[in-house]
Amino acid sequence: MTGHRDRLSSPSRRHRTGSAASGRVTRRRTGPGAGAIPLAAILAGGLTGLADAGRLRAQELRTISYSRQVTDEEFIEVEVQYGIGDLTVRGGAAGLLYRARMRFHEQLATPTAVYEDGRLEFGIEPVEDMESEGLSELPSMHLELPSTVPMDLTLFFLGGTADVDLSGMPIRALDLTNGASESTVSVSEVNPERMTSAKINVGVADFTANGLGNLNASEVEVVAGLGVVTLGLDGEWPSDSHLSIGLGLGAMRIEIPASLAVRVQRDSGFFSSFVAARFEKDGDTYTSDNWEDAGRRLEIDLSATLGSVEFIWLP
Amino acid sequence: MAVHRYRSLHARPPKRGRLAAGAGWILLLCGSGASAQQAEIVSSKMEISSNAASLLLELEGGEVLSISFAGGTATLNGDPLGQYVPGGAGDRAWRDLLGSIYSHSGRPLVRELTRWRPDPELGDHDLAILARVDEALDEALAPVLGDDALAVEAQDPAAAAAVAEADPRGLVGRGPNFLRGLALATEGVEIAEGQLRVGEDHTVPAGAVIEGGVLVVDGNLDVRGHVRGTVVVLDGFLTLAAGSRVDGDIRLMNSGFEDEGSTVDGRWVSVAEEQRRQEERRRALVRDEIRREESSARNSRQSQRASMFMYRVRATADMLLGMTVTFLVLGFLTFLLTVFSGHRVRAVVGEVARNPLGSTLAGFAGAYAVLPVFILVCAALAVTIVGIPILFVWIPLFPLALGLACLAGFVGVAENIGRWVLRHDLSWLRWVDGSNTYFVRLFGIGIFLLPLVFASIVAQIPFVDWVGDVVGVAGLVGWAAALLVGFGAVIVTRGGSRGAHWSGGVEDDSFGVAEWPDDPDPSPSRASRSADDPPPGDDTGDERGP
Repeated sequence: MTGHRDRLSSPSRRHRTGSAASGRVTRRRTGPGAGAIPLAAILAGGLTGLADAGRLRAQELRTISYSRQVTDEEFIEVEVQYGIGDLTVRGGAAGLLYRARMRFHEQLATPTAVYEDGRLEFGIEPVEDMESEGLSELPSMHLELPSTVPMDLTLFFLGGTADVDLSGMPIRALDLTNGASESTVSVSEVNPERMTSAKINVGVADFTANGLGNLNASEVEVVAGLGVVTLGLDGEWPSDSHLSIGLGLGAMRIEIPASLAVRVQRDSGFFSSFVAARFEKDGDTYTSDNWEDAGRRLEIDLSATLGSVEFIWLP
Repeated sequence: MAVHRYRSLHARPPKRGRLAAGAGWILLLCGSGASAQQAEIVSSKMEISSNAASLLLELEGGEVLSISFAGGTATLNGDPLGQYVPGGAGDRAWRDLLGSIYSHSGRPLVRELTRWRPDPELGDHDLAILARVDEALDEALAPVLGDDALAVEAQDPAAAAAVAEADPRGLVGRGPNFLRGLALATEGVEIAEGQLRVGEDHTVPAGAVIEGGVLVVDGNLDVRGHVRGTVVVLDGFLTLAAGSRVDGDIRLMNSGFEDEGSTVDGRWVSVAEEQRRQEERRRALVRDEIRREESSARNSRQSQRASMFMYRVRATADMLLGMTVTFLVLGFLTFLLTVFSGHRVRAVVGEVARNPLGSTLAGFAGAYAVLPVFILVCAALAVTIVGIPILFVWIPLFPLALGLACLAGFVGVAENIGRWVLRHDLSWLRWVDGSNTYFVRLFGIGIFLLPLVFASIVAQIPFVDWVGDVVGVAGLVGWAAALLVGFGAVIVTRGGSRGAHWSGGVEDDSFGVAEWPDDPDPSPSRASRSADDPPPGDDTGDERGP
């Protein structure tokens, strides 16, 4: 694989705009403090946004479209870093490596589009002194990713609205982080690749995921800080799997298809409520009544500090 | 005698005699397995902003084609093509093209780019620039188009066979436009045997009847007899002699004609014009598709906004309901405190007003000490036989006592805040009965809830929601401070059993020490008086000072 990536490192395979041109390096936001960044950024942006509303009227919108065809790629790493705005992610047509359309205020946000060494980076990030609130139009990015080339997908979304459709996309590892946003992740077709790692981190968000069974992952980890989270466990679940859920403060709704057997190991802190019908309780372990009969089994480790967790059976 | 000439939109001169070999096309015509697909677009970048519109294509093999209209200068791979007027017709035409292809990639992008032609109605200067752009695109993408042209021919076997039987060298190097025109001109045409000429003149003699069509490329066609099919002339000249007859269409591209008195049953077709119309139709379809896509996205967004609005309304209602319930619960608990421990609360109120700093420090110390004290006592009780039964009382009672202390402290602070506000004698607050301690306490609690109510409402309003967040945080900080100070006052007064010296007057000038003097001889009757006791002989109310 290394050799393959080296072959892709020719200058002609590299295009870079905005931050890259100015030498800015895109960094992933990780670590314990990551959750605090979105709120601080939004507050800071909001405080200064209204004050400069007059100046914002003078900002110019810029539209950029990128596309690339599959050549000899056998695997790519994709990292999407998105600041504030509307984001949609889809699988592209066969033969397409990526296609992206970005629209943003050119003086307030910086696009990143880099493809080299089998690594694809996309993003629209606010400039260092960007005032995000008060914009006449928030940035938007529509991204299509390969439907035939396996990939590791890392998606960081700071704030706004995200609609991510991973249906049928060959993903080997998924790392999805939402800062403060309204996000939907759908997987309506099963992932053709076996996913070795699936991590979903939700900061302060209204987050919905549907079709998690189609991720084709044996291990799925969901960590939610604060907000309302809906996890749809529908999908194929090609094998027995394990789901780890951590909830800080908020409400979580977990939708289970009737064909799936579920066993929940509950480790809840103070003040968390747990609503589960059709489960048999044994200490901190809850086992669904179809545990012996269902085709697929899912083990869930649930940790909730403050909030409510509700299990809903889908028809 | 009328002489007419149809020209393609390219306005290129007829390429008579261009027989130079083009390896790619020959190989294609001869059915070789070699591929002409040497210029596939590997990647593309289109950028449109207020002052620039650019296209960057990376072709297989590493070649790059860059076309930019920026700042009044059009460039091709960095070389200036000429000046244009930003926002002018040429600039708009270029932007229209980019706008129509932004969603394409790969082969569809090639197809759209090579189909594009500048509008001949443009001014000469703009047209010249865009014609060079068009040529650059065609040259860069021609090998890909060769493949397309082959596909078109394959759809029309008769025409393809007829072309193949002629000398293919006459068709080499014509470029994609010619090949597309050829495909269009020969669509549905059955060329009669021996009636295809490339690079030579041809005559249908008088009296001859041709059972089929006639195709001449790069040559003059002189029709004197009867052609039962369609006559096609590309890059040549057609003469229809007097008395000649054509049952089918006359199709001309880059060719002139002279009609000396013939009979033509079919239509006169300008292939170039037909191409332009087809292209217009395709572009209209693409535009419609984009409009539909944008309209759909817009509708979806509007629907989301409506849904978001309802969500915000619901969230606001939920929060207001929560605040109301909180107020009622606190009000009820305050009522119980006032009735059953009024003197203790009064002592706390007095301590808060008299010594807020000391109460705060005590509150901090108490907050830090609560948990260790609880644990240490638990441990101490757990290791003694006598303590074990007490432990079962201690564990539930300690949190309960702690909650009561916090509540009493908070109520004490709330009353002070309420009195402080009422002291300002605001006209719109005269409805609050300041003489009733219980009402004043409720009023104080309401003041603490007010920022949270405001924050709940404002936080749901777009663009100013951050104001709600800030006020909400400030409100919560206020609650925390009140709990801390009040808890400290409860500790200092040992649960309200000491230091009940409060004079309690809303008419006092301030909350300073001077106004809350220690009473060396506090009247037990005053210290232990219930909040709802009648006033001691004056008309200022129970809690009013002298």
